[in-house]
Amino acid sequence: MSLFKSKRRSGKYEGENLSERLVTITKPDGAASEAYRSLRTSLLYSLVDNPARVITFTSPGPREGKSTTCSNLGVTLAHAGKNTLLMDCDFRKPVLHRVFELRNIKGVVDVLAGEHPAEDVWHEPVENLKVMTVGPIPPNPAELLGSERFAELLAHMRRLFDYVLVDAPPVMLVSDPAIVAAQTDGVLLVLDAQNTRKSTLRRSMRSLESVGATVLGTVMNNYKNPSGGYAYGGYTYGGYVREG
Amino acid sequence: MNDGYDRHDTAGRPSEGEYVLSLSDLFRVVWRRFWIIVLMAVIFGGAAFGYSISQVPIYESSLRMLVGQDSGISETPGDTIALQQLTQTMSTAANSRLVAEDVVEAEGLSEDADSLLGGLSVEPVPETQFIDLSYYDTDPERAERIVSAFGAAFSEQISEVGTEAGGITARPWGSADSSGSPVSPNPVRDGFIALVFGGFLGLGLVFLVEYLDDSWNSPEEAEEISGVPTFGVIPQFVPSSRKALLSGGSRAPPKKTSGAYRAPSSPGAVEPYKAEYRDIARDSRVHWPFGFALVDMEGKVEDTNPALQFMLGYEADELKGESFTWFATHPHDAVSHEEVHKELIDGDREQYQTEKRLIKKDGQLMWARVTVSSMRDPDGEARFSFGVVDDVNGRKQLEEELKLSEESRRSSELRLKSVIEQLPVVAQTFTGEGFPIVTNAAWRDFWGHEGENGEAHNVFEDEGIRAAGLKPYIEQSVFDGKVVRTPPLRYGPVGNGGERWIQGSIYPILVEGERVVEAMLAVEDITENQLSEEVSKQNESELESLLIALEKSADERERSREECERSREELEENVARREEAEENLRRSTAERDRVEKSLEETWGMFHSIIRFVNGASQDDDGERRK
Repeated sequence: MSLFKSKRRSGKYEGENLSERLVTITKPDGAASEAYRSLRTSLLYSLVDNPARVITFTSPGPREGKSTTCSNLGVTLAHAGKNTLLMDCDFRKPVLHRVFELRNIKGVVDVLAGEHPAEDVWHEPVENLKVMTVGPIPPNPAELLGSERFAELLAHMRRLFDYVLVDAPPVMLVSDPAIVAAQTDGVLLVLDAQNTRKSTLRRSMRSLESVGATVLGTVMNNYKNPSGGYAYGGYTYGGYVREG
Repeated sequence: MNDGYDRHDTAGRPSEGEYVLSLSDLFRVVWRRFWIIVLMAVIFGGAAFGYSISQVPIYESSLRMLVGQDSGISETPGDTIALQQLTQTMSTAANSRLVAEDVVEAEGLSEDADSLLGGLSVEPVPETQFIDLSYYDTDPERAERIVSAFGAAFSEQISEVGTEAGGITARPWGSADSSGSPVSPNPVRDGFIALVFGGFLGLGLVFLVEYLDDSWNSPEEAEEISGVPTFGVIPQFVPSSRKALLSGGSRAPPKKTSGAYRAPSSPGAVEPYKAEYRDIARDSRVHWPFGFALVDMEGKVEDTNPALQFMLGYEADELKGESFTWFATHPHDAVSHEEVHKELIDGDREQYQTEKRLIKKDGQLMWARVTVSSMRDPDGEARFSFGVVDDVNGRKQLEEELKLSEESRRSSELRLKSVIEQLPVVAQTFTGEGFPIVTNAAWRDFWGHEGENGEAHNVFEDEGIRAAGLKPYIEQSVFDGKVVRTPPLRYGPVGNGGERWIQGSIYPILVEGERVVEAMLAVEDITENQLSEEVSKQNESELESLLIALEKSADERERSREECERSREELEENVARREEAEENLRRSTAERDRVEKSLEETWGMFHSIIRFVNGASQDDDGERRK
């Protein structure tokens, strides 16, 4: 049982081929891809009255699947014909460009600095899906994300795209995600079913809600069915969502 | 499950403070970790049972005493109550040092009174005048003896006191009896108690574990804790290769996407940058030994240097605008070049090097090494590529020759191998370090190695070779670089073949006349020869001994002949001596005869004289004397 298991993963993404995590492209008919499509469905239809179109993706700790979830959801949204933008706003350890195997030469930071228009820096790895990498890593991420320019950029992107998915750093480590989350329609909190601790989740919720961010819901990643059988991929909660 | 955070409650949901646990939840929690309860119960029960069983058994012996007043049991109710109260006092008295000391004295025990009291228990039977004395000991008989002694000593002490106090007595009621089986330990009872205790502890532990458990058993749990819905549950997946992505075609070519943001910067900005390369390539003061080519992103040649033009025999204008990968290229090589160049254009690689055959304008074939680098502008964008073409004809020719000689060497090696393989002689070639190169079938048969290359040991380590005593000769040969032929060596017994005689020859193969690179070991089985040789050797030795014997007898004959001679000489000498003696004898006889005659004559004369002198009387005497 879990009492005796030590599941803390160590190390970084170093040397790992992150593009393999893009299961919605590599294995479009797998259970995981199906799960991402269900996630898309929840997102599209559960929030009909007050649709969240600019969504922050974060998780309590590092390596819990933010970028993976964000990327795969972006791909499935694009497949569904939604004009989608993925913005890598993890100014500390950006990985989105590695997931899509893109060059991270110019990106969000350049746009915020006014060096390039946004149209210049995005890539289109999949039809309907634009990806903005970080660009050069700035010395003052939190300030940059809290700046007026960032708010303007988000507003501009909201006009251009159906969905804007923002990949933010982990909640428990830095304040960036709280800053970003406050400016977006809502937050999807990604949990690693094997690694995220329950108390950490509670603290994450608290720190997000304290800045007035709307936590739309959680995405439970890396889920192993405890009975060992078929992990039910289509398991979603679309029926009831609390208001506010 | 309250962790001290008081979040604003959400409507319709239990807050964290109230961790509502329904009966079914409870059952689920217990059931999921039921094994902990079972484990704890079994561990505790087992431990208690084991401990209990390992204890020394203790026996109990008890004696009932009656407290009375002269007449024994009192009839008046008042007296009875007083006596019952007295019984309490009595029981305390029975458990006293005084009594114990009497017992020690009476029984002659080695223990002191205190330890004796430790094993004694005195209890008045409620509402009666009886006192129960019990003694616990590891020996049932001793327990009985001591409790009886206690009864007697107690009774005596009381009667001493009792005469003054109204004749109070304490008498044993019946004799001491002891339980047949030990009163303690009781493993079953102890084990059962511990089992139950362990079970309860396990139950507690289950709830503790459940409380501390941080893993997510269901998505609902996340909802419970976060208070927001779970939008999706992504099962664990194994990251798979990106190949499918590339072939899937769903990904737009990078070129196209990059084009979107490449457009704004004007092509003119690149020109001065590119011109730098062009100037280097065209510098007439330097005669580059390499051909240079500027290639645009489409793969078309933009510019070339004189060295490349000379190399190919084409004019600059003829080369310009042609495909870098296809123009003047042997069709067999163009495709592979195209592929690798495409990777450069796609940005998958920064640089590559390839070798291809170029066809000169005059139709001659030339091998060229082409090194191409992707050139970026200061912004880091790939703008064009820069190719360096190097004439490697000479090297290629050498390589061809090398390949040919290599092939011929290989074929001769194969020939050698097959020759050795077919040899009826047991043979093996090996390196200077002793590692086998070619081993033939006869070798494997001889040494009993199985399989094609079975047990191709290093010759210096091979058991058989060592056993046969070949090793020092091989070492000598390899060290000296000389052919060594061993004397016949005895080897075996091998399998059922018995002992063998072998003779090995080591032929080292020298390089530059001094270094041994390989050597061949050929082993001859000379058992037959050796055996026949041995037989002839035996015959020879017999003959020799015969000859020796003969010689010896000849010597003896000679000696006897000599002896014979000597004895013959002696004989002759003897004969001569005898003859001499005979002669002497004869002579002496003759002498004697002569002497006798002369004596006779003398005597006659003498006689006649006497007769003559003495007359006739004396004639008679003279005649008698004669």
